[in-house]
Amino acid sequence: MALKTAQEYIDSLRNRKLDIYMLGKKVDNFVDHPIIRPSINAMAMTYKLAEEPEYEDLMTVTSNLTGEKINRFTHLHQSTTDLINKVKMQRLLGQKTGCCFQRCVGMDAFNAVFSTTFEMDAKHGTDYHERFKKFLIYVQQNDLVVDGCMTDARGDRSKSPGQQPDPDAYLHVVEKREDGIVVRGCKLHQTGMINSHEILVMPNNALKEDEQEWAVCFAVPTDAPGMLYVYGRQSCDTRKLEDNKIDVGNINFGGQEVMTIFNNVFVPWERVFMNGETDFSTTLVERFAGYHRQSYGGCKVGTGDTLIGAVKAITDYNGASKASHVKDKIVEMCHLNETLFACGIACSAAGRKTAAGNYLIDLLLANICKQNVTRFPYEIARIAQDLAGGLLVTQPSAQDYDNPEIGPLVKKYTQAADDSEKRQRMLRYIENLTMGCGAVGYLTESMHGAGSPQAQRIMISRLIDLQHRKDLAEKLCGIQENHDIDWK
Amino acid sequence: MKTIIIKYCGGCNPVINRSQIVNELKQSLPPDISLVNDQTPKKPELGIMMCGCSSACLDREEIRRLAHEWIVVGGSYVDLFPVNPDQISLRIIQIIQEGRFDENINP
Repeated sequence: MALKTAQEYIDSLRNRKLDIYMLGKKVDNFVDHPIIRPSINAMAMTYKLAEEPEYEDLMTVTSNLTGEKINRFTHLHQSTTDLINKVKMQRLLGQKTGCCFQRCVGMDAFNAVFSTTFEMDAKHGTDYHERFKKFLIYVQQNDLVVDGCMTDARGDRSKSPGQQPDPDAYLHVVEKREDGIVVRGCKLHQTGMINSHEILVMPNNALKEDEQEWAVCFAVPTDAPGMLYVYGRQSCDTRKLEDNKIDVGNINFGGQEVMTIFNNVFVPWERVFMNGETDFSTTLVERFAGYHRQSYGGCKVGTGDTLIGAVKAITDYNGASKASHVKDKIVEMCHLNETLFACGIACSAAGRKTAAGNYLIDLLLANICKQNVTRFPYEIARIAQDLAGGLLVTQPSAQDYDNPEIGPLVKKYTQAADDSEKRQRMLRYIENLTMGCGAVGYLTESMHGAGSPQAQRIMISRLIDLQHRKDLAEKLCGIQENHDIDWK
Repeated sequence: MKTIIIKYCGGCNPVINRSQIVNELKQSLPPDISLVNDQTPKKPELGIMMCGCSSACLDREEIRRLAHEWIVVGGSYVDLFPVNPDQISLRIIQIIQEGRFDENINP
């Protein structure tokens, strides 16, 4: 059966020899590294829940390619119900991990590349779609994690790839061989990269006709020769190196972002899914971004659920939960969080079938979804900090709580309506999500992940039909004749 | 007289002018082809679903039963491929001319 257990997934990472750098040093055993392991645990949860009968309806699905039971994270959406279930699955995983569980980018990339290669082949007579199907069957049958890889280093933002003084600012083809291509460049902010088995690379943006070397889509294993990884720092990350884990806040789980360098990496032809077709770079980018903007209507909502729960808990521990303004502010948090979920569900329900047969979200509504995600988690976090109280940022360290001399006094004076350790832990969890490691995923990733706010506004302005709305208004106020009225 | 059945989606949020496209079709098709909106005694060879957006929510089994073959317009897509909105009626005629349907309805 094409499903790995969580343990099999973690074991599968141990066999991989990756060149990873962190804090100025090369990392030998990344799987057991205390800063990295929480992110592996979060990814492992995507396997664990698929094993559980309680969650299999969301987590697993029958592959349209093989007929086998597979993890939904490797699935091509076959209906709007599949699109909706994707969002629900992401909410579930956000609730279970309280962080970014990293596997969505691959799923979003599969679905974007699948439909785009089909249309590319129809226009250009290429055979990318069949190549990609073979790759995806391999991924499904081995239940692999694939990093969907888009954001380039980008150099001078005022210049397109072909105008950059350093052509490597955008990943590009540097050599074409009989057996494949060689690529060079760097992809930034790669979520869950070293926890992945494979990388699916896509171009970063729309390209001009003469920028063919940057119009490249391909897959390579994460341990391919020439791949280099530099682990991204997160706020408060070295707390994970301390013995007492309470100050980390989220004890077992965390996200991961990695600078990923392709230092002359060879890609065989059977793994190349776009090579110079600049006319399809926009389609591929918009579809991937659209799916990923939908994703945030699930994952951030699940994490938001845990933050709302944390605020409910801390107000109980503080003895403040009966105050009317506290109740009202928690209602506001729920309203904001559920609005994000509504957007995720809406862009899924209004999705459409592509020519390749898989389903695409409604791009306008997906961009609306993500635009709200760039704002609402910040407001939810602001309310969380409001209701948590100032101890959120002044609380002594876990070592002080444990100190035999000062510890009893620290506990005495941090005691409120409930046990002081409950307050200590819950405040650290809120700190994690609103300004610590977890804020990388819950806040700044909400802002910039899947495209910064302005990227959505550009898409919204392109997709909305303002003339239609103008016509509606002109008919209603009598500027245009209203042919709808044919009665006396 | 040959017939093509035209069915419309509810039109809640269209990104194309559906009736204008149908008017363009009426002007381009030969006079012995009539466009109808209701079920006919003989099941038509061809139907056209005119959906205002890409969701193409009209594309349901009970609608498909009304004709043997269908061209589905979903916003700026015709049969799932993107088409410039002002080219949609031309694309529909092109599909008909490509011979996917009964030759009797060719313009």
